[in-house]
Amino acid sequence: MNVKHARQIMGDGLSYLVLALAVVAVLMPLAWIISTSIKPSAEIFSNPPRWIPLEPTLDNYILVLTESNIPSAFLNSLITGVIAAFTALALGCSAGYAFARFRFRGSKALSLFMLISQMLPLTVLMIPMYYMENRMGLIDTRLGLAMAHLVICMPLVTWMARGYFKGIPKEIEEAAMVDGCNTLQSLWYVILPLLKPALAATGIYAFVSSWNEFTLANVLTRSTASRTVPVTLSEFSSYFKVDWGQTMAAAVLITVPIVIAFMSVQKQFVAGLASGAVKG
Amino acid sequence: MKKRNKVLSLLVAASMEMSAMVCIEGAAEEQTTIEWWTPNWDEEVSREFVEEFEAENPDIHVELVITDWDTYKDKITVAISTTGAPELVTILLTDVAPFAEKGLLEPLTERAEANGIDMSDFIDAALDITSVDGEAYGLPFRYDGSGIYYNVDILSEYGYDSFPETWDEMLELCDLLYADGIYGFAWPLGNQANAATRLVQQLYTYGGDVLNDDETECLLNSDAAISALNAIVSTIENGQASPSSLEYDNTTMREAFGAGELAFNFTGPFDSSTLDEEYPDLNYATAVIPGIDGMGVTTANGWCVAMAQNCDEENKDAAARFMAYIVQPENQARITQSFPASKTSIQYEEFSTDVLAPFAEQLDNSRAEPSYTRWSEMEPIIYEYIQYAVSGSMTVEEACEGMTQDINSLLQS
Amino acid sequence: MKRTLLTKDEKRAIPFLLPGVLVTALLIIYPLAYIISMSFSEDAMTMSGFAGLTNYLNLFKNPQFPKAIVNTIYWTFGTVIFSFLIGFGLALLINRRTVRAKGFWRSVIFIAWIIPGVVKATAWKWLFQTNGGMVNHILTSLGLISEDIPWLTSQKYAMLSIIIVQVWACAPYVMLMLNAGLQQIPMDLYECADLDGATWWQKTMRITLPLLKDISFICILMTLVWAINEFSLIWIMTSGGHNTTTLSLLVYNQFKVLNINSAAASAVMQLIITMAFAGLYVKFVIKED
Repeated sequence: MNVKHARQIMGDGLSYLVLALAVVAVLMPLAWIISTSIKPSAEIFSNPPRWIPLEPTLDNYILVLTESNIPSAFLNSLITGVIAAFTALALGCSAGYAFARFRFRGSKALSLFMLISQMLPLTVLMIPMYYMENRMGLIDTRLGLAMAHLVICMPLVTWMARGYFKGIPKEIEEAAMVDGCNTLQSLWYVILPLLKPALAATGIYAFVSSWNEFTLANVLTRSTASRTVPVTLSEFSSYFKVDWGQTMAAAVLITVPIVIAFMSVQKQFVAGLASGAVKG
Repeated sequence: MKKRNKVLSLLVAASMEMSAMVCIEGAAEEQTTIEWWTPNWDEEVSREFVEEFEAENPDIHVELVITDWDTYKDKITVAISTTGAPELVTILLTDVAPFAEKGLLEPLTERAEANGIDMSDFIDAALDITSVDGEAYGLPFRYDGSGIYYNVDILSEYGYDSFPETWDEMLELCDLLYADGIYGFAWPLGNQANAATRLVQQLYTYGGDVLNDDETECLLNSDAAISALNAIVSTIENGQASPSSLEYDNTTMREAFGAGELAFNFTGPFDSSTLDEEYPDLNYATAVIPGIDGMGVTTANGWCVAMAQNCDEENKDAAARFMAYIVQPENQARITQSFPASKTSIQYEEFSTDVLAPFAEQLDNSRAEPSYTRWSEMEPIIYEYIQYAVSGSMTVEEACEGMTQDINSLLQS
Repeated sequence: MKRTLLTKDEKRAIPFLLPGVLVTALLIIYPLAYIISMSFSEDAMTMSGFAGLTNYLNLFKNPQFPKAIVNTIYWTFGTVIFSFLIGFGLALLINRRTVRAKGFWRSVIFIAWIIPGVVKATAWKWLFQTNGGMVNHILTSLGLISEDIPWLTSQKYAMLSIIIVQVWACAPYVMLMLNAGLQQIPMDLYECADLDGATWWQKTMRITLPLLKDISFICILMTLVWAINEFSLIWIMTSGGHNTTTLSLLVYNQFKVLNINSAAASAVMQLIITMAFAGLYVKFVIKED
């Protein structure tokens, strides 16, 4: 009994140690970003590097928010993401509902197509997308980028929504129909309210995917009219120097909304991820 | 309620999008809008130009798109390859010929002369680089080559009151410094473009060339090329050049030089203002590049404005007017970070200081950086093999042979 | 009445389905058809002239292509194997009955996956700097290295460094998925095994692994496809230098110098490779479904 107990304690200790190391490995880069972002430029290249700046300053943030193109990039990212996420949510939910509720020819092939689309290499889509949007005059517009981001958001939302709708017993809908609802009404008044948290999480995930996307945005945007935050981050390196302090301040500003968004819907998101990608 | 809010915010976003589009269209009716892609180091002066030009020409509106060093070329290449291209772009002189040969740039000689530009005032060497078959495809406003910046304090400590004149003497100096743990200089091998340019510069010093005259065969396995690459590899091995060379690009090298970690540095005249600003205590002087038995060869390059063939045909006249404004001699003097490319303004006093004099002298012994049609595809190959040689996974001869073969098969495909 | 054009369900499905399917077709199928036909064109940019397989043959002749394939293989297998092993290990630890604050460990570790890719890449590029980089500083002060390692700027370490970052980002995903799978394994299975005196190793090999087989396979395929498709991380950290040009980067590099013929052919090759694995994945999901 004693031996077993001792082993148990040792095992626990070891587990906590490894987990703590993992947490350190995860948080260290973040701490370093934050630390660099509040350093005056004289301290940034100090050797040996210092975790806590001698004279912490918010100058980098102030410069990023007042002098750089990050604020306009924020607006671009926000608008692009909102358009992409809402369009995907509207179209994807409706398609996901059809996949879950109706039997139709080609259902399986179509839904698998949606699944497989999530894995398309964006570098492959980048080239035709560029020429397509160029002909449509959509290069360097938020609308054009939002359209491209639908490529990522649509399959994801459809596939997740399909899973959510499948998870809701048909009986609930049937009961609503008995009460005199038609399909649309039962969907709108009965099913969707049930799925609100799940759909919110999906929408946020779609938004985040658009917010983070670099490969397409890098090619489809040109100027401050549409450049999103990920592509604006390189702005702080010029022919003459890389301003790491401002780069890191901008990086913090990009990350914070994303972490908050995730934290706010973490439960639904994790469940959605598991059901969306695993069981359908 | 919540749902309504969401719908509302979507509508707001959509209407913002539309109103933004309407705004742009509304502006287009009244005046011609042209776009100029200018790099961030020229941003301030560019904005002044736009302001002044728009005040004189109320019918033209100039949109600036600010590019950066890391991405300007990729972005501009892609942007000018299709319709809807920006009207004017600021590019390296050596970018012009490859673009022009692909039919992506507008011929400019006639347009420039029609707007009162005296083509004979451009420095001939600069205009040569931007010309294909006698037709200019870019109007240069800056032209420079490298030279040496050296730390006067460090050198005088070792008994030098001027910079060594030959490569071997320079290496002797480095050996003296290395004995005390100081690195003489560094190679910018952390950046593809910087690294390839430096190899080519060394190659020119030894009298070699990258390709044969009709650009069908690579000459990088010549003795000159082997000596050039060997100069890079052996100086790093012997501690004459910093082992951090693999990390450095021209920017970080300047920082290391400014901080006194390197005794001297190969770079262009444009670094002097940054050095003065960031390292006010640094006691430096400039010199010409040491060669085999006298002055070495520098590669020269510069910046120009060019007009995209694929931009809106109706905007080309307005764009030409603005371009003519940019390359006026006095404006060249304002926008250049080093020397202007105008024979008139290079005579200005500001360009004949002690610091700049050696660079002017060095320009007499210069060759243009490569402007081969497929240079941008050759550069990564050259860069890769420089890395192999420096890291020791290949001998210098193997690396030269490897890049030659790879470039030859590239040229054939 | 046996053969109507559309069944009742189909008639009801169409209005729900059509908008989404049309948009997806426009955004995915059309570009795919476009790039494939580009790859068979004499002039890919204008899509004129039929070139047969010329673009592909030229691509195979280009020494950069086999190099990119080899790099892609190193990169993919490196990231997949280590992401899986580390993610699996963490999932097992968190799932231990006696480990408290499971939610805390999970969410904090998961942050690594959430962070925008560009930020990850930029932050790590900064950490991996040879001079004054945090990684070298820590290793030096722990006495593990005596000379600074050029992480991102040498043949020897560049690939390793970007693999470390991708594993850093993907292992938390594997952890989360496998942890969810572990929680679904009924406890009494282990209790029965305990009664039979099974060791931890036996329980892992006989109960845990077999029951996690499908979900593990899915994790592996997902990380694999992500690895093949990854662009921004490598682009930002090394720009493909020092033998880190994978297929994704090759496509972009050819596109940016307007070698569109080759870019289109490389893109189609990448598409084929990704879709082969995606096909495997789909097979598994059908089985699960």
